[in-house]
Amino acid sequence: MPTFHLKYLAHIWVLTSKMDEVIESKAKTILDLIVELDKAYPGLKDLFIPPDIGILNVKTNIYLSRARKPARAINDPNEKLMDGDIVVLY
Amino acid sequence: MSAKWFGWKGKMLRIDLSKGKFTKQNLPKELARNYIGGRGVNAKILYDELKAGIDPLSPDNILVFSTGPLSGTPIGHGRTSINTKSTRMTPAEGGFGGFFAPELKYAGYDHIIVSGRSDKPVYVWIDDDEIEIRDAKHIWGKTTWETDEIVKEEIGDTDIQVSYIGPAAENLVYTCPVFCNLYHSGGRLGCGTVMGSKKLKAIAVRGSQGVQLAHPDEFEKVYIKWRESMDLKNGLDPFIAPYSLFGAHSLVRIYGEMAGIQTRNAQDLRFEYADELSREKMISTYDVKPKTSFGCVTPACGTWYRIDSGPFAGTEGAMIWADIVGMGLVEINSLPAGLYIRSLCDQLGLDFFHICYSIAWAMECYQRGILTKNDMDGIELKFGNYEGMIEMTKRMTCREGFGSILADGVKKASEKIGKGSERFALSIKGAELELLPLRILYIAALGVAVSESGPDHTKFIQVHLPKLDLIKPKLLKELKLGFDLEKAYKPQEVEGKGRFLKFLEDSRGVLDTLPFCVFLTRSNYNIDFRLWRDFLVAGTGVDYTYEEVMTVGERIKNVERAFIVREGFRRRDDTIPRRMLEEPAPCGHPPVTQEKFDKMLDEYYEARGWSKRTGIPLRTKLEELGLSRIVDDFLALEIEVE
Repeated sequence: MPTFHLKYLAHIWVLTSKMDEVIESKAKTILDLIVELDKAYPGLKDLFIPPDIGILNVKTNIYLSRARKPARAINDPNEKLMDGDIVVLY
Repeated sequence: MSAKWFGWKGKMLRIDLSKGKFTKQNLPKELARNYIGGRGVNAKILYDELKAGIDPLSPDNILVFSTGPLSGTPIGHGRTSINTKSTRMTPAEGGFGGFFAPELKYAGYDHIIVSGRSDKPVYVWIDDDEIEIRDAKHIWGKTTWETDEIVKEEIGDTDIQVSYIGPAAENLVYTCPVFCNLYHSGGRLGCGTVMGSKKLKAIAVRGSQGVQLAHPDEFEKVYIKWRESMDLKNGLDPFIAPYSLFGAHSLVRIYGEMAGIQTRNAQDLRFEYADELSREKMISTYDVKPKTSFGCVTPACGTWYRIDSGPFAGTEGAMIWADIVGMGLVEINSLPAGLYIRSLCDQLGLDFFHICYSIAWAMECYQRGILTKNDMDGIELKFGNYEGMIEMTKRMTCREGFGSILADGVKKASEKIGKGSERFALSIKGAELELLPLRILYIAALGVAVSESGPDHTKFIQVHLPKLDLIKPKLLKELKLGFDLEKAYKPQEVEGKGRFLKFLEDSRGVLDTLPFCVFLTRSNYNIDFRLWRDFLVAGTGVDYTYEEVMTVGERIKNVERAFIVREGFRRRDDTIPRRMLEEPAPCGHPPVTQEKFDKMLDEYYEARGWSKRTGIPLRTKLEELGLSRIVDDFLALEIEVE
């Protein structure tokens, strides 16, 4: 199963109580991942994708780093994930 | 302007240390109207009262401490603006937070101008109308923290505010700032050093007067509007949440993830220890509490820490995110060691970036075999050696051996050592760089290059990364910015950067006069400053238009430019280190390149109304800003004016 290194920054760290973790997940997109994480950290999905808006909350940030390249900002929740990706949430 | 002063106190205090005398003067109305206060008035006084070419460490130099018309109100945020002529022959303009400026205002003064030189160490005690120049022999050589304590004890009032220098400034380490409230510091290009050259250890102040506002009800309305814009729910800034919880320190991991922290003397931009030195880690490990400035509404911008165990047990101090960036330069991976070094710098009265860049340069020299352990008096300065850094910091303060070479700054040190080390001496106009990664943020590359008073991100910084979809098109239409904001905001876009930087600098100039903390302008996307015009009008009763206010910012920039033009600075000096222009970072970020940099600089000069060939303001621009006298000065000095 693909593994992802998740990093929780600033106020998201308050929600997760951990700075980072490596998880195994079948998530294919950022959206899948957020839905999955919401089970462990209730409220996370509503923070990143508020129900009344339905798209990524512009006041939150998701960055993706692949193959040790500098992280880039993600604006589309349907962005595909690859095994080994580092996903930064704040 | 009316005869009565609102906002301003209408008084300047002049202290002549050579004569041991002081005089009180009325603040000229025209000076206040055209330059408002703070940085603006400082720039004008410095230009008018200092002749070109004077020795910065001679009695001829002056040192100006300034408040602004809104100091002492809930929005002054304690900002004190200080300025002098630096040993690099440029203005050493800088500001610091804390509580000094409001107290000075309550004592009845807008500005203090210090001239001359005392023949023995002194400190000045201002108690409303009573001024006293006191002997400071017993505190000369003391640390900043000891000075704070002794002066307060001597005066018998722990609520007074004191600005001071440490032993490093007494020893004329070239770039020492002035300190207050233990860890706030400003004027990193040597305001403290000049204070040391004048044998002035401290200025203590107590004030019992208030600040009278022209339209208090209107002021309150504007204040409420501003507070609403800072609200977590309504605010536009995606950084408000992390900033409110963790202050600027929250940026460490954010920049770390983007490979935006300069490491190993900026050879790379990936800092592997960002997590280890993060605010999250600090909160988990050390006793941390917020430390703010007067009237500040961001509860955690600065943080006070205490280490209770391990080799650095007992260390206390304050930390901001910029300090962590400094640790990347020397590759310190131990948070307690970093906290100790920062505290040491504050207590010795040193500029943290001078220390970090100078020692990082020495470390790179060691890495490349240019300097040996012997050359550095037996200290093996290799990246990550914090024990060596601590020892060298102390030697720099005392100007001992190799430490004395570093005490003069990285530019002079590299000129002395030679052997190609000049290439990685990272300075601009003789002053060390500071925190921002120039290869990633082109606005920062251009901003530090054209800064008159050395690299200083507060002169232009975009306080957050852009999410332009939050800005309503109606707002953009109203503001008529004159540049494509979307393009200008892209970190590595060349087009529009020059025009955007001019706007950012002019608006920062205005904030520095009020004064107002740049980090509390959040939620306006750095483009809408009408609220600050409203603050100024409600506070002072002077009916400035928005255009007039922005013109004040432009005028200040031109006066500061005229100051360095008079000292011989030209376009060739508006540049960044070759490393950032030519060397890609191993993490993948390419260099800025000379070609792109020149394009941005050309656009900037054009937007400013300055000569693209020389970087000197054009005659038409100076006349438009009411600065015809500068044209005359230039002509008298045979400086070419186009």
